Amino acid sequence: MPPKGKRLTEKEIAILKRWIDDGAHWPESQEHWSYQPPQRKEGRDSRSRSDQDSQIDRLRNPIDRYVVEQLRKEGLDLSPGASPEMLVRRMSLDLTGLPPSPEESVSFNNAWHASSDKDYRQELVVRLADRLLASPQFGVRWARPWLDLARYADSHGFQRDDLRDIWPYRDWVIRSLNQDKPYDEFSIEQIAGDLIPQATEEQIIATGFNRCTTCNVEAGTEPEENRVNQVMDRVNTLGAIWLGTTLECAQCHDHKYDPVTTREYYQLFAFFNSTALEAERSKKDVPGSIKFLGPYRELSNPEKREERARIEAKRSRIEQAIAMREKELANEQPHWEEALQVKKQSIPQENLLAIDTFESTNGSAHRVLADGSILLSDDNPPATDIYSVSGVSKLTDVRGVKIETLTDPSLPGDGPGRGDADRPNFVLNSLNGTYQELVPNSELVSIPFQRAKASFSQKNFDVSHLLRPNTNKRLQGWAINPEFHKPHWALLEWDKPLGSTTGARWRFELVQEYGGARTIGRLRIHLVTGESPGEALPEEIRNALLVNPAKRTPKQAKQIANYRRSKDDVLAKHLKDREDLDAQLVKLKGPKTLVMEELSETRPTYLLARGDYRSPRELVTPQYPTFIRRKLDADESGSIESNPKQRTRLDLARWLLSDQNPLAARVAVNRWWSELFGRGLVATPEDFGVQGDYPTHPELLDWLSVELMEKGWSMKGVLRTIVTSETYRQSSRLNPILLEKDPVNRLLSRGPRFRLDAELVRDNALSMAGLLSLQQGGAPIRPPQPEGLWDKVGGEKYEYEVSPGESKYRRGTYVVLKRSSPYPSMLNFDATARMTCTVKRSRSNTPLQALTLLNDPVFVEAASGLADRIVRESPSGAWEDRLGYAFQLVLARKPVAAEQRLMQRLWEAESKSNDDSKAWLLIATTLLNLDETITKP
Amino acid sequence: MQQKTHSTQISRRHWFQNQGLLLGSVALSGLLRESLSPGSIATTVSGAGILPKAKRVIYLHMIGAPSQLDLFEQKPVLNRRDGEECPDSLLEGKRFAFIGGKLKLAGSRYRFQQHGDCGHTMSELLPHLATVADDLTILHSVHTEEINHAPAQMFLHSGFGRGGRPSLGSWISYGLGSENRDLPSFVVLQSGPIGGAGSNLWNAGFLPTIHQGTPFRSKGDPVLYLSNPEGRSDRSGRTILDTVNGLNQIQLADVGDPEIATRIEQYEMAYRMQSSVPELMDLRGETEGTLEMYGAKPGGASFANNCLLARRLVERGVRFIQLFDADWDHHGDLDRRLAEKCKDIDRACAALIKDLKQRSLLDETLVIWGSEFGRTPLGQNVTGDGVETKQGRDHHKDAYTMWLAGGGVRSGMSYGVTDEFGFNVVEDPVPIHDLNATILHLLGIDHEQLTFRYQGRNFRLTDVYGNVIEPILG
Repeated sequence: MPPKGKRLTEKEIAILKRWIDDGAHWPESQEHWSYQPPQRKEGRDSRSRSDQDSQIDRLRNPIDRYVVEQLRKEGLDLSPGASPEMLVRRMSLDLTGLPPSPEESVSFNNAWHASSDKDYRQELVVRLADRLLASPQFGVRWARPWLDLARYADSHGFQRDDLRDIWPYRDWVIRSLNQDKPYDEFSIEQIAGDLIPQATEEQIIATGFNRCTTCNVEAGTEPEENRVNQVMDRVNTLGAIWLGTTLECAQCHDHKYDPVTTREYYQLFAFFNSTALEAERSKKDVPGSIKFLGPYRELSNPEKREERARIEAKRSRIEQAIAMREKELANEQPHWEEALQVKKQSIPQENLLAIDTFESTNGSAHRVLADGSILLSDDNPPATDIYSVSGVSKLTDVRGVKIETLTDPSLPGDGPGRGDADRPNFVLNSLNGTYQELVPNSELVSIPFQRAKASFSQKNFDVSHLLRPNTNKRLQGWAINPEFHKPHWALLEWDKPLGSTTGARWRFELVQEYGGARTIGRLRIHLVTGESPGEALPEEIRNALLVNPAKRTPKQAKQIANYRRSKDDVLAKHLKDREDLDAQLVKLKGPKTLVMEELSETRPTYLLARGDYRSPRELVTPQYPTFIRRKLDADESGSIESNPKQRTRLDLARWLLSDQNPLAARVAVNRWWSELFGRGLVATPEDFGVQGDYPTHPELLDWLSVELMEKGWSMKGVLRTIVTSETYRQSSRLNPILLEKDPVNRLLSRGPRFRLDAELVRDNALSMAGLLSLQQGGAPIRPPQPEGLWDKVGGEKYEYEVSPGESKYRRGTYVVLKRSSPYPSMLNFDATARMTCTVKRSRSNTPLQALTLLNDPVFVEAASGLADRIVRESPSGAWEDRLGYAFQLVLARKPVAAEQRLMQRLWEAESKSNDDSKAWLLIATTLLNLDETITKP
Repeated sequence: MQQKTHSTQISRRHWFQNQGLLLGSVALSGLLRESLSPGSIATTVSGAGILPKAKRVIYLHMIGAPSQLDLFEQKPVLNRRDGEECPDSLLEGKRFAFIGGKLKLAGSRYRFQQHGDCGHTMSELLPHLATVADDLTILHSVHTEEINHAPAQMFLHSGFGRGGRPSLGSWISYGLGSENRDLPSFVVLQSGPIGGAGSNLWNAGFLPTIHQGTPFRSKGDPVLYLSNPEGRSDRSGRTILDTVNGLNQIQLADVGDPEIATRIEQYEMAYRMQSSVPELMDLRGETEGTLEMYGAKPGGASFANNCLLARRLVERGVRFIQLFDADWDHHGDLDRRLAEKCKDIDRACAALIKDLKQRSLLDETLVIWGSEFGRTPLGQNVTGDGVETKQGRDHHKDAYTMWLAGGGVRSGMSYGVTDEFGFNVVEDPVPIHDLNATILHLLGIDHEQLTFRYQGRNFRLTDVYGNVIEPILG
């Protein structure tokens, strides 16, 4: 019992007493309304009929019958119909998210006034609805609420808020809505498209729905905690969309109001618990190494299919040539070895110098790795540095030194430089070597380098610079741009052999003064012995060659064969060709997108105490959410699941959209109703449970749900029925009686009137300005936004570059959504960061909205485009005609006299001192700022 | 004009009549602002008869987590055993973000001293703050649930680590509204880059966006889209506004939707913000002495400037002022970096308290200093990627320090005790939900009454938790 709260009144106590005295009867047989299957109530005929009833029956559209019946009970009736101008604007905004063009609204208006016949006008409305429903912009408009539900965004969220590729899923939603994919299929494919037998690429893209979940890859995050949070998000989202139920309470405790137990929660959890890991540490013991893994699906790119096939054919020919050449090389190997054997004693050979002293003039920390290399290990590398490296060797006949610059995962971009992950270059400005025998009073010899070679030298930074004194400081030396992210070497040789069997100290000084930490991140040094000229044989190859071929280990044999292959020019050419083709293929690749991937082995699911991933309790198995219809639990087994032992996500998806679930259809039609009317028949579209609102029109809600299910789950069908009803077509005008009797329009006594959603506010302005691009699909776009908004702690650093050309004018649905910094003007109009499933956005009215419309460069540009368009397109140059055209463009109606007077005053004030075009800019700005402009009429 | 007044009256009357009777006053004031005028004068909320002590909040958040062990927590035993291996008993059940393997205790190299009559212990890194020791209430025993920055930041401000919920400032704006018709009720000031959770830290979540924090920026437009675009004079701007409002009036008379009346009010407020915000941001009118006291520079961008701006906002009745200061995440080289960061904030924090006090604003302004979590008593010598560094400390969620000043808290008080290593709380733990419940209480709000119904639930800042920390109330 709650310890707090108001005491019951005497009267309430008396009622309870009476109820207990009567036997405390609890109507167990009566299930919560929304848990009963929706039914069409057709019984009206049998009722005794009044005149009123028969009037109602004459209403063609059943929606109107239900609504009018209710209104009459309250002594109200439908409001008069909206004007044709208003109707065409309302329906265009509702079905395509765009205003009607002046031609569209004028022609609808003319047709409307051609006859006042009711059937004729009804036909006009139906045709209008059909035209708009068939528009490709329909899908873009209706994707918005679905993507809010699906928490679609283009980044991970949290501190490492990197961008991800999942926009093919967004395009799938738009395509599916345009095709009017039946809502049951639409749902099933998103929940479990990957598990449908012989799933198509489209069905797999659809599973991006559940990959829209946020993913925490902040360094130090526990991957399992992140995974469990993701699965919970999937369960909660499913509850909101297909069950109209808030499940998340049951993560920790049995639901307070709705009959959901914690056990049932984890039984649902089990359906989602066996997909591939999305983030993991790349090194098990290094917490900072958590990385986003995917899984991604690469998509075919049908347009480039032919070109791809041609290149792939070429590539397979090269593959054959490579195989052939390798065979030849293998056959010739004994001869090659023989030839090599002869001179192996004198072949130059690399010997690792064991470094015992390393110094950095600017204090960089370092570690010696097992392979004898030195790894610079400071977080903050100094801009410039001089390394002094030395070691002792007893080798003789030393004729060269090989400096290796190596990569390492700890270096930015793997190195070998330390400065920058994108361009990890280094500049070795000069190299000085000294040699001193370990006997008393021996001379310090400066090593005279005579020849230089390198794996690669950057243009203007050739390795030969190291042979002459540095006269140009920073800009002379050896560097490797653009061959970053791979190891390199430089070999410096001299003629007179050095070395002593009693040992000598070798010291090398590496001067790196370019700045910006263009310094070496990991290096290794070899002394090269043996006769020059000739390529030095790597130490391990030389050693392997010394072993009798019959006695070589497999590793040694492989090393020799690999070495031999690496020296073959024919093979090198083939490999290079193959590399080029691969690069071309990459360019022809289709996009990739995040998808669900079921593991072959299921993860066991446990009930988690208090929702904590570290507190597993008893094992649970996947089970349908039977809390909705407990009594049916018994006969439901053996109905539709493919394998009664282990139910899958696909089974769950099919169950949710079957007649076993009374909620899916109701919740869906209610959401659509709410999109059109600003308020659902159930005013809590997210909650159909015990705590949710009771429907204002329960029979209407059921009728629509049955319509949806019986007419092939067609969303467009339901929308068509709604927008052609008299109810939808009412004027939205308020009067004191309506305000008194139906203040929030719950009785539907008038048409809907409310502010457009964030995306549509922008789309409309651009459309009126003639700037809007209707191009569909593809990667997200970046319209102009104020500087610096993407700067943040953590995550990849992204420059915000405005999309080129007309793409910055594409519709709001395509604007990039970075969760830690959503597009600011849309945020001001109640768009969200989409961290979780959003069933209902708030709809606020704020000063920041005013500032956005007045001053955001995007809207300023739109105003200027609109001004140009008014002057350019107006049928005549007369001021009144232009103003009329402007009103037509923006509001799809003519101005009234008072409006015209106000505009005239504005125009006169500006045009006297300035030119006409400036005055029209002010008028355009004014029009774009009107409440009516950003409001569905 | 006739029509506007008429319609506004209708709508207000309607709300009171139809909704007001059904709802508690807290929710009512939120509801009013949701549907009507967000800039309207606040209704004083008396949730369950709590007397408000504070009217406004200045929240100083050090993004990244300062080391409480080098600032407020003197631990002689930890110092003595510096470098020793950490006893296993302390590590049981502990989670760290980065460190692992053989863990070593790390003492503080800073000198600690007692300050003021109350004898608050602080380290030498905060000499200025020490001068206002008697005004501070230090909570030594704060603990949180999250161990990574972004989730912990969201947990601190919204009571939930995964985002999507309203932040503290939004809740307070929703509960109390604004006292200023020319400025937003929730203002955000930043020095350095934004924290890991980004704009989620001042997001209104499911509350109407009017309650979202508005960043006032020191570069570019102080508020996004505040300035007239190039080529539009102030006079033209006003002409546009008058015409927009005039046309909206005509529409209001025609269709009677009260939203239009609200829209007109919002345009007027936007217009007023165009002068009130630049005036607010301009520090040139402050005396040399004041600038010197804070270490602020007109035209600059710093934590010191932001503290001074916070005082100016408080003077203008702005309800919630959130400061963020970046770069406190000292996994390595802590000694150098912490000292540098303390220099950035020490003088300004002290100045803010002194300045509020001398203007008699401290009593009604609650100042909060803290972070998303604290740092470990264990040393960290490698980065998360395994690279060696000079010593730092890892994230620590089980015990850390925050302080409060003014706004009805018991000044000079020290609350909560940690063990001799600063590892765990041993007395008077302060979970984040308790801290937030207390902040609301000081503002006169019962944290259990401040709710918003969304997706089938009555949401609270404190979820199903939270107890007011009675002993620290003044």
